[in-house]
Amino acid sequence: MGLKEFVEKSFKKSPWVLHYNCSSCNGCDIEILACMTPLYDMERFGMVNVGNPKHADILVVTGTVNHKNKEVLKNIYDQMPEPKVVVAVGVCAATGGIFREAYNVLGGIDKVIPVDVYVPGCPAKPEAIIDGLYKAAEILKEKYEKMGKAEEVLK
Amino acid sequence: MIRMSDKSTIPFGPQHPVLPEPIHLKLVVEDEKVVEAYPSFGFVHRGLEMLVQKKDFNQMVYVVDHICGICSAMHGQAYCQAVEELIGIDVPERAKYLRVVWAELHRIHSHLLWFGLLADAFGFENLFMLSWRIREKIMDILEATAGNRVIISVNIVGGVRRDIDTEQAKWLLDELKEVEEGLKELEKIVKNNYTIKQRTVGIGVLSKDDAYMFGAVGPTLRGSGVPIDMRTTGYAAYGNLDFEPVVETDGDTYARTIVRVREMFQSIDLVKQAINKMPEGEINVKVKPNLPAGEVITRVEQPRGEVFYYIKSSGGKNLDRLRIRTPTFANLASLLHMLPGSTLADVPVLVLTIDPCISCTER
Amino acid sequence: MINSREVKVDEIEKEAKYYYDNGYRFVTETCLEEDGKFKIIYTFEREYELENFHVYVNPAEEVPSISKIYFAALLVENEIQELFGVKFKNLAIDFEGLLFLGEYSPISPQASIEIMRRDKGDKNE
Repeated sequence: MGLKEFVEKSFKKSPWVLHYNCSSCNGCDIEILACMTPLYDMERFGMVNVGNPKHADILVVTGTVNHKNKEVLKNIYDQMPEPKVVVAVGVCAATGGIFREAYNVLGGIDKVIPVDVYVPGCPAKPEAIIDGLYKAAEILKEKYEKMGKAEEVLK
Repeated sequence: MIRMSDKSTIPFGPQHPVLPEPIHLKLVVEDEKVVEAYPSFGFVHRGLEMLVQKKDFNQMVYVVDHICGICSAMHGQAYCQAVEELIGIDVPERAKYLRVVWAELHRIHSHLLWFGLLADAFGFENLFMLSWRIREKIMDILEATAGNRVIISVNIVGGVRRDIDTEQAKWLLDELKEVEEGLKELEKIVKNNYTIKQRTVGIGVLSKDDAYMFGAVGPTLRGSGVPIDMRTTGYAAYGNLDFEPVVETDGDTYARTIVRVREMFQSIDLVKQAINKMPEGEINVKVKPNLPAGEVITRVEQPRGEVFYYIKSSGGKNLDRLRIRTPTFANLASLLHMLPGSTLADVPVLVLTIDPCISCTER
Repeated sequence: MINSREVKVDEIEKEAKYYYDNGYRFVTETCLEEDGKFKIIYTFEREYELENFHVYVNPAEEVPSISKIYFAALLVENEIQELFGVKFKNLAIDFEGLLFLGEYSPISPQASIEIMRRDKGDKNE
């Protein structure tokens, strides 16, 4: 196996996850953390939680967007290298949920950045989150392959 | 050698590996020492107190449950107790005991969660995994008894919405035994492990007077030797249960860790007592759709300390004003006092020592 | 029902000092709006007993901060300043209305009386 194939394979099999709490109530966040712990063990899919946006392939966002953190969210998203996938965990991230009517809430995170996978639930169950992340990994694979084709065309 | 300037400013957060929640600290450091710290919040501010104008007092229970996903049952409890006092209804005895059961289960899961995060902050990932593995048992109990793992919303104005039957109670006690075994293991590690002591003993010392006067609450206060615990005021069924506030005197991060570990054993004991003393009967009473005029203050002991609820009504379905002073909000003054003088490497441990819940703080 | 006695705005510091000297713990301040005025309730605690006093503040009035006496009052006074627009003087750290809300956030609708628009006209959208 050449180096290129090796990198390609590891990329598809081990997406790195960045988690950002975007004015969530913590419910979904602790469930995401629970996904990494022994019972649910996200790492069996090769997913590792990282703290640096530049290392991450999948962005997991919980909670609604407010006026102060929309800049932060956009900033984090822009720093991630292509290809990238965004997973919105919980109803708040999808639509604003129970906080929808609060004055400082903009709504779902798709108002600020494009979202690929929505995971419903209040809070989303670990099983649902893992399912969502697995879907995200597949979308990432697709995006990666599309990118490769685009590069070939540009050559 | 020419030195340009000794001072530099380092931003900490809002997106930081050790923090599950966004908080931003501007740290002014001199070499490795923090000399000044300025917090900045607002990344989680939603304006929940304002929702009282849009939702009626029954719907608000679910909103206050979502102030924080970790101690949600106690937020609901504090709110319901305030409204019940305003209306002047007596909650059935059984409901009071059930509230204690769920509140104490929440305390155990919250402390285990915090302990894992602290271990992660000082680089002991194995311990993080261990404490979260024990925590899963509590999550199972919550799911089996209340129907959801995290935000269980069991409290309603007038009582609780679900009952624990005898069979389930027996199963619950069996599960708790296993949790207790796990906790004993954890306690052994905390008391004997070199790494934990190196990273926590003497870090973030808060003297008794300082803790009292900075308005610290919960384990932060009790770790400094002040025996204040709102549960001793006897709200819900705590008046009929036997317990003493857990107090340690050293006032450092290690003392606060010990307080929380001991509180977990205390909570298990309280759950056992509550289940054994629980009387038969109704679990909720019907509530009239309109509120009387008046204002009420209630305080409830949460895992992080005392939460303060102020409600004001002038009749009708909606409250006029809901004001929530959460425990982290009270503890932040102590954090700001502890940060200057510490080293940069200790900042994550210091931030976690008060068990910050930013979602509570900003509402 | 809560017991609370009314004091005048310029007596706040004196009252706070009294509680400080008598070993009371600061609990919180609560701001509400009553008949076109702000009502701020100060709450202190000693041995599980709460003591309250409140002041009525006219929208244009400045309130003396007690954060130099009770450091813990710092955050709550900044919060009130930000969400209600009541101006505090002598704050230990003044966040200038940027504690919870960002530069582009909407003005908090917590109070119907509008006094403090953030004085950052060029930055506001």
